[in-house]
Amino acid sequence: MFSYKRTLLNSAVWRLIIVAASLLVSGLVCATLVRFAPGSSVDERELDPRLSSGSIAAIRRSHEKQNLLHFYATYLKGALRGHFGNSDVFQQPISKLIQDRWSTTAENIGLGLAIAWPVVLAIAFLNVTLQRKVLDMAFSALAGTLLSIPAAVVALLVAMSHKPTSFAIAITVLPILYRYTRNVLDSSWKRPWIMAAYSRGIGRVRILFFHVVTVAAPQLIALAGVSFTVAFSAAVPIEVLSDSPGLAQLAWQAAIGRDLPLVVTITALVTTITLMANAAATLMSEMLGPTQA
Amino acid sequence: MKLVSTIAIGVLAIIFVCSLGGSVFAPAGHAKQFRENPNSPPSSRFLLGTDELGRDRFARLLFATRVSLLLAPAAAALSTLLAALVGTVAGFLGGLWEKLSMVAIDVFLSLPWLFLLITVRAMLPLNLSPSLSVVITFALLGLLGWAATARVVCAGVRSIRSSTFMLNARAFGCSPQRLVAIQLIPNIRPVLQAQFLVSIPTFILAEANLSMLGLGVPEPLPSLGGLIVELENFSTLSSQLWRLAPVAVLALCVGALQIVKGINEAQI
Repeated sequence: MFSYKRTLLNSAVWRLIIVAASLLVSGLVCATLVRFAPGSSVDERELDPRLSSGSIAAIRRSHEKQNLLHFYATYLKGALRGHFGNSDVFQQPISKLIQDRWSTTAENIGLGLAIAWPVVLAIAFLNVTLQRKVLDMAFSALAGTLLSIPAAVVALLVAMSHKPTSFAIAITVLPILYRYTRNVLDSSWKRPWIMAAYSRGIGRVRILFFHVVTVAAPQLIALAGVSFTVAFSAAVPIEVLSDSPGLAQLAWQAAIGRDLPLVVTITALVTTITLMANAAATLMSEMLGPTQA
Repeated sequence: MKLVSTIAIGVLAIIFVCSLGGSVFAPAGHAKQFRENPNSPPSSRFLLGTDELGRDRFARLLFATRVSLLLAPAAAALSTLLAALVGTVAGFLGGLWEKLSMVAIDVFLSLPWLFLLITVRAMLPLNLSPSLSVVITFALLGLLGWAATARVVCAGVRSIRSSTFMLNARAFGCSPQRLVAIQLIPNIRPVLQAQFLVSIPTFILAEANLSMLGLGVPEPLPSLGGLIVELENFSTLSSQLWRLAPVAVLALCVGALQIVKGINEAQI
């Protein structure tokens, strides 16, 4: 028991190190990309006819001084104190921009997943318990059709039908989650001891909740962690096309406007949330793992 | 299952042949503007009507489909090649190489893919010629889409590395190069083939998403995403169902590819 707890602690520490390393590397990669992007050193203030040649030269000099590593080090120092700098595009503190918008994305993604997960579980439970080929084919065909439509198209259609943005996110993540959930539950259902229990006359519902779900739980929890990444990916085109003022739309605006501090901050934020969600899911799976053996 | 697969391949073949023969089915071409017929409804002359600049929607749809169906497999080949390279090196050498590769893959996978794609695409020049932009868009898909495949390849190579036949080959003095070329690559080929097929629909959808966000194939070249985004301007589609043709073609292509991919995976 003691060694198990120690292994779990080691795993948690190792994952934290990976999260921190991934954060630093992804932030630096993003900063490098933006810094060397064509036109990144050009300031639109240079086009202002009221500015004298001396002022324009000063603006150009200020950009020349912005060395990548220097920018990144200064940025990290500020970030540790909670200051993320100012956005070049919005001319506002980044922390305020994020504060204003994070709740919209959290609501969109949270509601989207809250709609998608119960539907996915209900359909997958029904499908696995009944074991009807026609039903399985119908659900698979529906999931396949939904998977064949880009998230942006779903966003457009949902916006046209005046449904909330979270509905578009739910429709986009639903087929992905369904396919994995169905496969995980189905492979658990086909294990020999489950077949034995079924042949002894134990009810299907009892088998599902006491034997199948408990075996599949670690993988389903891991999938729940991954579903945040899937939902955020889907949120980018959905928020842009349905004009929902969330973080995903801000990320798009920052990328289009080549707003270096904002891109780095959003990248770090998204990476943190994704890695934390994945790490939490993996740790929970590991905690559940030994009890299933 | 065989029937479904045959139908899917048939649908793909019909769409592909139609898109290749664009100049036969729509001789006016995708760029010609019929200024006297802007926004015209479907007719015998323009099967899907014209857009606001008077361009033949059917010709544009055929060209857009051709772009997607030719370049998405090219991007998938590039990403599979990269994944094979990284995954094979990591899995075959093991130890520190494998750990480093896994960290790199984790960093790649920790960012939502579409967000990464948008960021990197936006960093590249947006004032390039349209044809160069098309190539860049798909090249980017190929360059950024290798991570998940590399992980699968690495796991496959790792299991083959410790298999009995590899140990035998090593014991007989087979060189590492020969081991990779003769023993390893043929054995991971089915995995690579499956990953290649998985990537094609993913890249077609990603291009459509990018084009809809204004970061994919630029005007005047048509793309499926570019054609679909025109729907944004129409509040009532029920009376103009033909405008949904690009969505239908996209869904048909991706759906058929997914069926082919699913059957291929089942065979493996």
